This record gives sequence, structure tokens and C-alpha cells, in this order.
Amino acid sequence: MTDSLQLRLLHELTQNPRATFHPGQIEAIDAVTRSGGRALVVQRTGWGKSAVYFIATKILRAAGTGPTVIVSPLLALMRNQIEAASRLDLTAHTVNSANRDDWVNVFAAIDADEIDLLLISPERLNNPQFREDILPDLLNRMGLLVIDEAHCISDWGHDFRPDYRRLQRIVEALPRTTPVLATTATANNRVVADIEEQLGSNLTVIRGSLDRPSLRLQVIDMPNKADRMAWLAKTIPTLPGSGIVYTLTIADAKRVARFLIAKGIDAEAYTGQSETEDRLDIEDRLSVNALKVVVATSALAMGYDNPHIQFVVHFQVPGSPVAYYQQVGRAGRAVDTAYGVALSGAEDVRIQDYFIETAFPSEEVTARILDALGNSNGLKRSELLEHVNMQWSRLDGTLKLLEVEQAVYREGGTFFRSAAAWTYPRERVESVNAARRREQQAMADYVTTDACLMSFLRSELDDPSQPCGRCSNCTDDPLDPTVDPKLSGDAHNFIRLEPIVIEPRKRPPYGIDRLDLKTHRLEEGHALSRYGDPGWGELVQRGKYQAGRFDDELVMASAKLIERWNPSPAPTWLTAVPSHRVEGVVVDFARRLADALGIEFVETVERVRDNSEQKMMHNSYQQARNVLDAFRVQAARSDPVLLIDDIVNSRWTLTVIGNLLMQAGSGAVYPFALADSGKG
Amino acid sequence: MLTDSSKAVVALASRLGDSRRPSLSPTEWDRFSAVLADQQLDVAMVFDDGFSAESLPGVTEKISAKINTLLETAGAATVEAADLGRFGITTITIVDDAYPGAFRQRLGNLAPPVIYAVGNLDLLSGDGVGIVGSRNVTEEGKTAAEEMAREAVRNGRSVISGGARGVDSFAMNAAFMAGGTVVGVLADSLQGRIRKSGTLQAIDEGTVCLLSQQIPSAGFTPHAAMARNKLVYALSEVTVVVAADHETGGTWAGAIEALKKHNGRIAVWTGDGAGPGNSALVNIGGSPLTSPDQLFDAQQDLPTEPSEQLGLLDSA
Ligand SMILES: [Zn+2]
Repeated sequence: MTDSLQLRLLHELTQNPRATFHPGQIEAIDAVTRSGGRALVVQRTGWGKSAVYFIATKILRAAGTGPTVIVSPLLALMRNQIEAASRLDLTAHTVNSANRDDWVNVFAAIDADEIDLLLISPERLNNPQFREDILPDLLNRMGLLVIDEAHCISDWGHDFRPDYRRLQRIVEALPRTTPVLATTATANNRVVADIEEQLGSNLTVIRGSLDRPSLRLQVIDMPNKADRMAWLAKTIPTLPGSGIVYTLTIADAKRVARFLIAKGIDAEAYTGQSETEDRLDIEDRLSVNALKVVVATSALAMGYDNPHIQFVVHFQVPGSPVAYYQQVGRAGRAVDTAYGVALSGAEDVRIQDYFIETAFPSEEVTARILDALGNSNGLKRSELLEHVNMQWSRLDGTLKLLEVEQAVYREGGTFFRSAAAWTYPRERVESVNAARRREQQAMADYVTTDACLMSFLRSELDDPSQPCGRCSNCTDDPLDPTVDPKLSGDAHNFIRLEPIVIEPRKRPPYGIDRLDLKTHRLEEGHALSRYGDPGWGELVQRGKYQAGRFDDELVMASAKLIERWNPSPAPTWLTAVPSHRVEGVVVDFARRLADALGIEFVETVERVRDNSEQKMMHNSYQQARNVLDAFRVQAARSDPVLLIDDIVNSRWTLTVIGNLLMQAGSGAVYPFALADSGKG
Repeated sequence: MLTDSSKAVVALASRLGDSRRPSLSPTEWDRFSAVLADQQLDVAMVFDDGFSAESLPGVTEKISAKINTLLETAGAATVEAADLGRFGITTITIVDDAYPGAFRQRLGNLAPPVIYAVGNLDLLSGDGVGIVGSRNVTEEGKTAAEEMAREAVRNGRSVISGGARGVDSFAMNAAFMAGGTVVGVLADSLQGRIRKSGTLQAIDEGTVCLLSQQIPSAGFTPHAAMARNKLVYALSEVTVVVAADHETGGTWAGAIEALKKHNGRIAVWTGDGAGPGNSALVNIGGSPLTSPDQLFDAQQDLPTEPSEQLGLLDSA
């Protein structure tokens, strides 16, 4: 018997002449290599979804179709895929925000039919340039559309993403000829039904067991945060290989990572705020086990494709079994034993509540936005902010939702009310919220159940099973749940004395090329307080706006913090950002701080233009623009320097002045601020 | 949501996706759809694997070549049709239930295969009175237009008009003020028109439907204005010409064409404010109207056949 074309391609792809297809793979390939074929693959990560679309692409391209377009939210996936695709002689490219300079070349290559696979993020579909320059051509020629992490299409899922709604609209609108392959590792019956409804009735569904035989699940109820940090510091060094600690908040991801580093553990924080290049670097190091642990938010959740992860610990319990299983399922793909531990904290429910309650904008807020737009001839974001008193990020989220709902549309930076009637989807919001509450209850049950943990999770994913025989409820040898009191005390102190870090900006805003932040970048800096917080934060507020002088107590506290911080190489001089409104208030403070530290104050930064107050500027571009021409640096000593400001907000003032200092020849620039007003 | 058949119409007979697409003209579309109807085929078959227009008897080489080219850019066209939803614009094709039957019946092979609409689509299937006239109109002409509109509203009709300055706007505004409904048939950008906050408010209240056969991003062209006039006459149970210039201007040309093509019933205002071309239109076959209340009284008597003078005009 001769091998089929599909099998020969599989051998080529795996470089293994004895490789065979997993159940379902060949059916999926057949389904999507037919005109108009549609398949949904629900299989755990590592099952071989990419083999399906690589082989399908090879077959389709040989038949003369256009490129396969893979829509995926994962940076890491994109890079891995481009590499793997080359084994089948497939040319893969990606178009993302980080390679904008490359777009023209990629577009030309698509035009010349030289690209077999194009990987894009769902956000790309809503990018104006992409939408106008390349999307029409792609829609006309696309041979296969692959939707990765397809559960994001469903707002019943825990991870609904508005950009996926546009993707769904595209699928719905395309002539039925284009084959579509949707893939996900995590979908319960309801999400599968939702995807089926949205992708059309002739969908081939291929669904496999979600079991992970290497995974040992465990739950430890540990209300105190310091205890959990201590447990991590004690336990992680005893665990084999590399792993991930998931937190529910960005602040906790950074905090836990710092503590672990302070305890000598090779750790990094990974959040939605991390710069792209840092994220890629961390993913790289994790994938070659060059890092013990990554402390991450759900930004690292989906499809992070590293088969060697040996432990996943949750510092807080997420509010959905599907989300939890997706994250814990990162562990143990290609290893015999892996650990999945959920630490249940006192704050879990409060944070879960916050996520549930803020998932949808309120009816009242949407009405105010629509009214404002309906009574105008279009408004910019900043103009809208005058009509609705809400945070920048919340406004953005609400606008995005209203765009997806086709109640508003955007042209350039201006938003318009669409001509479609729109009513707040109250019932749908209520029923989705009710579903989220049920999921939250399921996770509360997970923490307290005596039943098999693996069976519990799999039944939540509609994948029923027998007890696993490995979890902490099935066996007697789980990880030691006790805490070392000394470590716990350390963690407690660590939280209390925690510095507020000013992270250097690494990239100028899009459109501002004059800022070279590759070579002239700030060091990590610190702030003394959070602006307006009781204690120092209040004192800063009073000094700036009432007293016109910062209290000596602030000088002493700052000096103490800088001594404890002890930046290296140590700064030998100090300079200040000239203040805006109150003449000399920062300079006066900087002089006294220099005295307290015993280093020299040099007044070298000059304000040459009276720019608007930074806090009035609403986004990075405006903020950076606003300060770019406002300052000049006369001369700088070549040693490391402390750069002092009163309040740090967007960090662009410090970034720009740091840049000027380094251009003038200074050494490393360490920013320090009395207070962080915490928006950037 | 577009059905497979409506996607096929969009792919073959619209310029969505790329305004330079060599889309089938209304007459070309009509011929192609007649072939399909003969064979009892649904137009969605153009998306079938192995479809070839050449193999259909009665499809010319030129049309089949065009169809093959158009199918290569079908994806961008159908996706743009759906994307118009973000402006609140609905794409309606000639195979859809929402498509006004009057266009098919009165315009025949000139019926636009694809139209775009916003607002209350039910108004498209209701009864309406067309009110047309030039942009520059006397105070008396304005009053006549307004009275005509009020009369239409009193009789439960929508006012159908072109949405231009002058007579069109006076009639539409009077209808709104009288609590009536309006169908605006636009010659140019639907996209620009829905930016106006007054329009949005009327849409919100369900009292207006705007429609156009030009793709919503299009600008104004004289050709589009003529096409627009055709739709106004076709959609109206009776169209009143309030004021036309003589042998010049869009109102004159539109009325002449409607009379010539028997496109609906045409009444011509002959009271105060009538335009310099009005009496000539009556001579050519328009039914004279001296008082707004004759509009419905006299409707039975309005001519549906062209008068003989039309032949003279043809040779002119
Ligand atoms: Zn178990």
C-alpha cells in the first residue's frame, strides 16, 4: 500500500517516516481542503492542530489557491509556526505591530503569490492601513482561513475578544467557497454550540479528550498573601524544570516576581504591560529552560506552546474552570510528571468580582456616549471624555464594544454614531453575567471538593472521566502545603517596604521617530509614594499645590529609600525637572535631597517652552509630543545621575529628559519621583 | 445577514470592495438572471465548485469573461457589503425580500441590482408621494412643495424625494413637521448624509429611510442624479413635479424620462410657484394639478399612458 499524499506530507513535516495521524487529523484536513469546507477542532494543546493546517495548506497551494491566513492572538505561536512551516517548504510571514517597516515587503510578496501562510493577530483586521491596503486582496485570494483560539469568538467563553467578532463577521460575509478551520483547546458544550452557530451548519467538529495524564492537580487554601509568597519561595526550588506562576493582577505578577528574585530564584514577570521584546525574550528563555519561573497574568495564557513546562501554580484562583484548565494545561505536555497547584487566597473572590462586574460597560454609560455622538458631527476620544466622566481605558473598552455592536464607527481618530438602531443588550448581558457567576461558584467548589480534581475540571469542560489517580484528592503524596514562618515574615516585610518602580519606556510612540530609546534609555527608577495616598502621597499633594515647598519629611524618606535601593553603578550627581507652575519647587527639593545624600546638585535641565501640563494629555503620542521640544540640557557630567521629578505620570517627561541627558554625555540616568500618579 | 444568493448579486453587480470593479450593468445583470431563471438555477451557483459561466446557454462570451473576473474579487465585495453594517447601512439586492418590488416592476431591466439603505426599511414597501423640483425655487414654489407634503401626510403617505436643496428639502421638512415619514433617494454619499445629527435623530425615531444605488462612499455625479430620479418616480404611486426649468436641469430631464418610459403617474403643479417648464410638461403628458387636495381626488384620472407629443420630443 502506498502512503497517501497527506501521510507523506506528515512524514516530511515531522521528519519521522513512521509518524501516523492522530484520530481526527485526517478528517480535519479533508474537511478544509474541500471548497467551502468548515471544521472546528477542539483538542488539547500539543495534539497537532498546526499539522492539520500546514498539510492542508500544502495541498491547497498545489491546487493553485491563494495563501492560508492564520489569525492568532499569540506572538509566540507566530514565531514557532514560521519556523515549523519551513520544514514543508512553506513560506510563512507575519504582519504585526512590531514589524510595520516590513509590511510593504510582505504585501508585495502576497501580491506576487510568494507567501503560503500569513499569520496575523485579530487586531490587525481592524487596523485601518491593513484594512485598506491588504485585506481586500487577501479576502479575494485566501485559500484557507484558520481561526486560532476560536473560543474567543463566543462571548459565553471566559475570554471573549471584540476583535474576534469582526473575524466572525468576515467569515459570515465571505462567499461560501473559502474553507475555514477553527481551533481551540478549551471549549465546553455551550461555547462549541456558539461557534457552530457562528461558523455555519456544515461544520465538521473534531473533539478529543482533554486529559493530561502527567498532570498532578492540587489545591491549597492559603488566605494570606505573604504566606503564599513564602510557599512559592520554598517550593519552587524543589520542583523539577521550569514553570509558570499565574496571578490575577499585574501588580501581583510584578510583586511576586520581585520577591522570588530577592530569594535567589531565577524569575521574571510577564504581563500585558510588558514590552513586546521583553515578552518574546522571556518566552524564549522559558522554552529552553533558561528561566526557572515566569510570574504571569493571563497575558501568557493562550496557546503558549512549550511542551516542557513542569509546573503551573496559581497565586490566586481564576473565576472560571475553563480559564483555569487552559492555564494549568500549559504544564506537562512532554514530561512524565507535572504539577498544577491552585493557591486559594482571601482576595480571590473580590478580584473575580471585579472582572465580572467590569466585563460589560453599564447601560447608562453606553447611553451617554451614544447621546453625545448622536448630537454631534463626530467626536474624538478626548472630546468624548468631556461628555462622559470615565477613565481613559474604560472609555476605550466601551467604544470598542460599541464598535463591535455596530452602534458606533470610527474614522481616523473620530467616532460617529452609526445609523443603526441599537438598544443595550440587557438580557444577553444578564445571562452572560449569570453564567460567569455559575463559573465562579464552580471554582469555589473546586477549592473545597473532596472529589478528583481532574475529573471535576473535565466535567466542567463537558469531557467526563474517571478519577485520575494522581491529584491531591486521589493520592496521599501532594506537595507539602506548609509554610516556613521565617520566609513568611520576609514576604510580609517585602510587601510593606515595596518600592514603587518607574519602569523605563523602551519604545517611542508610533509616529515619533526622534526619540532613540534603544541606546539612550532610562534605568529602572523609583517613586516614594502613590499620589494622594494617605501619608507621603498626601504630603506631596500638599507641598505641590498648597505649601509651595515639599516637607523635610519627604526629603528624609526619599534619601532613605534611595540608600536602600542602592542603584549600581551609583549616581554621583543629581538634577531636577524644572517645575511647571510653582517656581523652583522641585529644584528646591532636589537641592535638599542632594545634601541629604551627600552628592552634588547640578541645575542643567532648562525649560525652553511652556508646554501644557502633562496630565492634560490623553495618550502617549500627545504626551511625548508635548514634552519633546519643551526642554534643553546644557551639559552633563559623564557619571551616573539621579533625575528628580515631583510627580510621575506617563513617564514621557522623564524619558525625554533622560534621553537629552544621555545625548549630552551623561552616564546612566536613574529616575526618582516623589509620587506616582499611576496612569502610565 | 447576506444570503448566498445576495452575496452572488453583490459579487457580480456592485462596485463594493473596489470601485473600479467592472460590475455587470443593470441590463447585463438582467440578461444573466434571465438565463438563470430559464434554467431554474439560483445565482448562488456561481460559488459552486467548478462553476463556469461559459457553459450556460445564452451567456455571451463578453458577459462570461466579466463574470469570471468579478468572481476573483468576490471576497472583498461581499465583506464590504457586510461591513457597511458598521455605518448602519443595509445592502439590499434584487433577490432579497426587502428589495422594493416597484423597482422590478416599473424599471424592468434598468432596476438597480443592488441598493443601499439606512433607517426604517418598512417605508420602502409603503405608499408614498414623490415630490420633485429644482434646487432654486420661488417662495410660492416652496409653499406649494410644503402643502403637497402636508397633503401626503394627511393621507397616510410617505414623502419620497431626492434629498437635494430646494423643493426636495422643503417637502421633506414639511413632512417631518407634520409628523409624517420620508423616503430620501440620494444621488450621492449615504455615508456622508448619515453624519448629520438631524438625520440620525429621524432614523432613531423611525420616520425616515434613506436609500441610494450608488456605493455609500461615492460622490455626486450628474449620471447618478439621473439614476436617482428614476428611482423616485418608480417608488412613488404618484410624483408631483412642483417646479421644473424649461428644457434644462435635472428636474426637467427626469420628468421627461419618466413620462417617456411610463415610469409611474406624474402630476405637474400649475398653481402659484410652478416652474417655467411646468406647462410644457403638461403638454407632453403630465397631469395638471392646481390644488394639493386634487392629488388624491384626481388620482384615478391621472394618465398612465404617455401622450402623443412624446414622439415629437424624441426626434427633437
Ligand atoms: Zn484525581
